[in-house]
Amino acid sequence: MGITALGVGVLAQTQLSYTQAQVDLGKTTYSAQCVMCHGAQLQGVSGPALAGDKFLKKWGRNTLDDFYYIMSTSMPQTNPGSLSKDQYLAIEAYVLDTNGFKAVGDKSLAQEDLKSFKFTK
Amino acid sequence: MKLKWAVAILGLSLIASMAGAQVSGPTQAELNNSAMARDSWLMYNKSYTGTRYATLTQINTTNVGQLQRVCTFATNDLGAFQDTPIVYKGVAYITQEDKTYAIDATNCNKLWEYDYQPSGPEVLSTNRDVAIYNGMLFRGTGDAHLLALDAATGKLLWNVQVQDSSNGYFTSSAPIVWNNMIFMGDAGADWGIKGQMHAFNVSDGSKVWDFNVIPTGSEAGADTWGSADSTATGGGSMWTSYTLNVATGKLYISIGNPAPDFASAYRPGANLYTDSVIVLDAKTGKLDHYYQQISGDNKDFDTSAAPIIYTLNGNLMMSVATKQGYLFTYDDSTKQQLYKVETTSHLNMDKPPTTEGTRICPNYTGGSQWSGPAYSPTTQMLYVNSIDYCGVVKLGEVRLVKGQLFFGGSMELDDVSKAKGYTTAYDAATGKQIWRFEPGARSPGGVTVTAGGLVLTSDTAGNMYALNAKTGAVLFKTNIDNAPSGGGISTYEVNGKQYMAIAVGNSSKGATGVGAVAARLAIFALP
Repeated sequence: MGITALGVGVLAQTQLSYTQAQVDLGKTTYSAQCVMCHGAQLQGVSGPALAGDKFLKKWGRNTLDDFYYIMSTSMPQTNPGSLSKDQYLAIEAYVLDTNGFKAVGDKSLAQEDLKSFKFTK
Repeated sequence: MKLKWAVAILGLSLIASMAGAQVSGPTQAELNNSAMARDSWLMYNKSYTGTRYATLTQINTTNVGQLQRVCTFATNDLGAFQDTPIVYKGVAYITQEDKTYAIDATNCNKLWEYDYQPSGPEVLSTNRDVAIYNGMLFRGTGDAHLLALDAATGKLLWNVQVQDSSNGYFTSSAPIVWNNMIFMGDAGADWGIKGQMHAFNVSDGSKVWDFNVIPTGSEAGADTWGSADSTATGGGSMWTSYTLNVATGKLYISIGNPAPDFASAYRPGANLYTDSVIVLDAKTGKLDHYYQQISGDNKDFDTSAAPIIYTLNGNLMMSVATKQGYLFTYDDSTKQQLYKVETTSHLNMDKPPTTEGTRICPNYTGGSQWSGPAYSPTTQMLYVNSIDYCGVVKLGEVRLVKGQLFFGGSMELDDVSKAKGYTTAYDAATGKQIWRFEPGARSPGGVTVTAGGLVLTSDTAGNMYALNAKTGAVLFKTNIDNAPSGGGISTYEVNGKQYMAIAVGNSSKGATGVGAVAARLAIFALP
């Protein structure tokens, strides 16, 4: 059992998974850093929407790694790159969850998994 | 497509036959007189010359202190609002991302609104306003279309796609119209576009010509791109509006930064025609001449605000203010640069970005963003709004994510409390500073100057000011609902009474912060 679990852990995910703890941390971080421009429902205010049809239309063809790259190099707008890797990953999990990806599981979303998945449900 | 044009033309014929309730102008003759016109504000920068000088004198240095707000029209839209209201026959036309409004320019009553339904992803919410001609309004969109609306009703007349917005293109500038052509360029350099300038037919939106702002192959200037591959994402935006010399038919266009913004090693060379003012033959789209302000930019210092043209001592002058915090003036008859003067402080302008970070002043939200100089023939001074604001630019990975920001690095801004705004008057002949006013907050909005001796400006704390054009003394100050202002003030007469209309609201989170006070049009007059 232990060996099996370890084996799965070092392989890239084949099914998208993030933890509830990541979603929670993502929501907290989002509320502090992103909400003023992107809105409480991620609906977009002065910044673009991060949830809904418009968002998925825009990002549908991209990998989660592309989103991570753009977010972690250009956001927060006044201090790009200032959050930790775990915080950026958590925000991405929160964005996925809000968009109805329903992938809460035991496995955390990790940076090495991001290239395997797209913003398509 | 042919069917769509046929329907559009049929629509126009129907409109032409429904005289009376329709808006029939402005005619080309009225547009040609836009600089002198007292009853209108026909283009983003007032007239073809772009000088934002109004001949009105009813409100002047002796009575401006009595100015009162007549009314306010709130759009309740938190997106960008950088218009200078276009006014014709007592109606003000304003735009935001998807909405276009016609508002009574004396009492703020809404006459109509049009809500655009985009067909592609919208890249940015900024839209700077309409062009108006012959009963029609023309505007760009966040998904890179060009629309024609009936000025009387807001009804859509035609809709053409200019570029594919999924590749980062959009059309945010306020177009201008001349000789039955609409002039509109692409925006989106920071998303890795390859910019083009265009002319379209007013009747159906059909293309008249394109000009490649990023030259390739045998085009002049292609040799300024050391890596041919990099031209595919070379940038070169047209952000704001356009300037035209009606006597010569020459079109003056500011071209923004190259992309990726900070990683200049990816695109070695001078990168023409980025960070330049290009001058095209408006009828053919052929290049006449150009002036480059920065060669091989690595800090996102667009030449973005429209250039202005004016005659001084018998010579045709062209002035332009840039994001790098300089005011340039050229003698356009001899093509010589007359002067380059600072509009902000400067630090490490010649040092390239590093992965560790290079501290620079200004940062990419500083200098003159989308508002250029105003020029008064009375004082022979140029009035420039600029922002003094520093930051740290860092070099990073160059990765193109289709339709997303393509910076090749990042910019960290200082705390916004350290940013300063200026309104500065310069002797147009020499560039010598005459006076400087510091409003206490940033000043990305447009400057307007009047024959009544007033300089009208605003700041991101929601203040609107009337200054003495000769001295910079504050003659009037009011706060408009704490709405951060990045728009401009148009002034016009209706039934012999002079009004001032200002666009304020959450103008741009990048340039004015995230203060969430929604967009509004406020109109002022004497009691």
